Amino acid sequence: MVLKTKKPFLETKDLTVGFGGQVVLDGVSLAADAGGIVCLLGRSGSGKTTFLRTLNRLNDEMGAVTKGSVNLFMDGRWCNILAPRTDLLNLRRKVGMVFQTPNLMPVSIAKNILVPLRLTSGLGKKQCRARMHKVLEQTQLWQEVSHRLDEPALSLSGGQQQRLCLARCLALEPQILLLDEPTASLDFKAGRRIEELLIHLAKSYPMLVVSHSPAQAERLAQAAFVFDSGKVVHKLDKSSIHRHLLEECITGSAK
Amino acid sequence: MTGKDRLIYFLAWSCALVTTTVVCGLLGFIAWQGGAVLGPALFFGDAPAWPAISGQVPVWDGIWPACVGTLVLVLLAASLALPFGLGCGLYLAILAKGRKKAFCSLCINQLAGTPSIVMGLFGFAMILFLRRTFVPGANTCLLLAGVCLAVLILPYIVRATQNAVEAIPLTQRLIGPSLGLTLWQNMVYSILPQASRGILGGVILAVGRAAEDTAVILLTGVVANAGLPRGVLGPFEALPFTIYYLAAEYRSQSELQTGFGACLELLILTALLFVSARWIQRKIENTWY
Repeated sequence: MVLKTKKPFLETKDLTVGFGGQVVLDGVSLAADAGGIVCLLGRSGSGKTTFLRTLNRLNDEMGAVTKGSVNLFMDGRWCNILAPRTDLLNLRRKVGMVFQTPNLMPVSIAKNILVPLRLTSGLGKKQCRARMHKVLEQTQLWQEVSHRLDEPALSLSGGQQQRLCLARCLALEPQILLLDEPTASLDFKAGRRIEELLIHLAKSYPMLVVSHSPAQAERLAQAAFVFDSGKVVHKLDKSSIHRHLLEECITGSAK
Repeated sequence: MTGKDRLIYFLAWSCALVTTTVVCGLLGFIAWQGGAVLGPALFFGDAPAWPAISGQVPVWDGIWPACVGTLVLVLLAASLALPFGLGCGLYLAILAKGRKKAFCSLCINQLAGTPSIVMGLFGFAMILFLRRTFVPGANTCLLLAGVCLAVLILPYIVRATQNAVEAIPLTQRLIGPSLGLTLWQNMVYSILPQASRGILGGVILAVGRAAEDTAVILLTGVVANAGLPRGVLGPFEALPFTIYYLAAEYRSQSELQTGFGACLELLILTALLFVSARWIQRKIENTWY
């Protein structure tokens, strides 16, 4: 599947999220298109991560109260994911997420992909193995790990671990990808490698990336939203995404 | 290093030294006293070994029936307490919120603070109640002692499970939910394997506690010279009780020596249980999936 035309895949209206009385997102309304990376920027505590975790309802696990509306385009139709009867398990399998620090299980490389896949898909052993091969190729890991699939996943380097997290998520065949500062815990080189991978994957998946770096957003984004104190304060499209402008937006000196 | 740094260094070092010395001294003394009598005679007395092991010949002067009794008792108590302890610990760490959590925690703390003699008395009173009401033939037995011991060790397992699960970092805890695993799959395939090391610590404490406790079994079914346990509804012997009555009522030096031999045997038994618990935990960690 290749996304050629810019089609909207996300639409939020008056999205408000609070944790125990503290408002973290305050009336966020935005719309995003598929066919390129959408970056979310802002200072620490501005609500980027909370916004991302609203889209797979992961905030629910931490006792968040969410109001407003969030619509995602999945399976060829718009779904209101805040509807009370939303199937959370299905939603989270279709909206894949990669965290800031690699979060693998302390088992082998293969099992990190195969176990969640087997549990959620009900596929047979052979099909699971084939899917694992495919996603390891997709994340450019196959060459590096094919000869040591049974070794502990935690023996991989930070960048490889993060790509394995991405592979684990891709194995469930998601329709939307969410990445929360995926290069924050990596060195420059490993970070660049992930960035290239994301640009490549964005051709096939609608993708939201939280980033802490205007320079990274300049390299990656086709659209960017700048958060401040739980609100979206700037919306920028490809033509206006420049490092300096983004810096001004984040520090609040831009008009 | 400043003066205070040196003081902390010295205190930490000497505390470690004192602890190690006390433990080694204790183990050395028991090994020295008990090691002298360690042999077939300690376990089986005058009875021939193989028939005694299989229970064809009764053992009068050996500690073999007490070894078997303690082993069965500990396994019974642990297998009763483990499912409840794990479940309760997971509930407290993941599902319980607010007042329910506070109340449940209070109950667990209360249970942890209950002296074992009270637990034994509770078991004894329960049998008296059963005799007067529904089951006139009820008597103190292995099952009753196992149940009372399970209640006694429950808080260790609950707290260890809760602490181990709460110690898992948030992003590691979110692996299961973010991949769309069900609550059950998340618990079994993600949370428990990640917490298994911490839980093992609690299980070891619990097993040690169950193996050494004398007060509970004293009131709930232990009998000197009961022989090998015939079933969960019968009387039994146990090592801590054997040690207790040998130490309190020995008539000859050799009986006291037998008591030390039983001490050593109890230590060896618990050490073996710890090793097997660790082995099971490693198996779970490596081949859980």
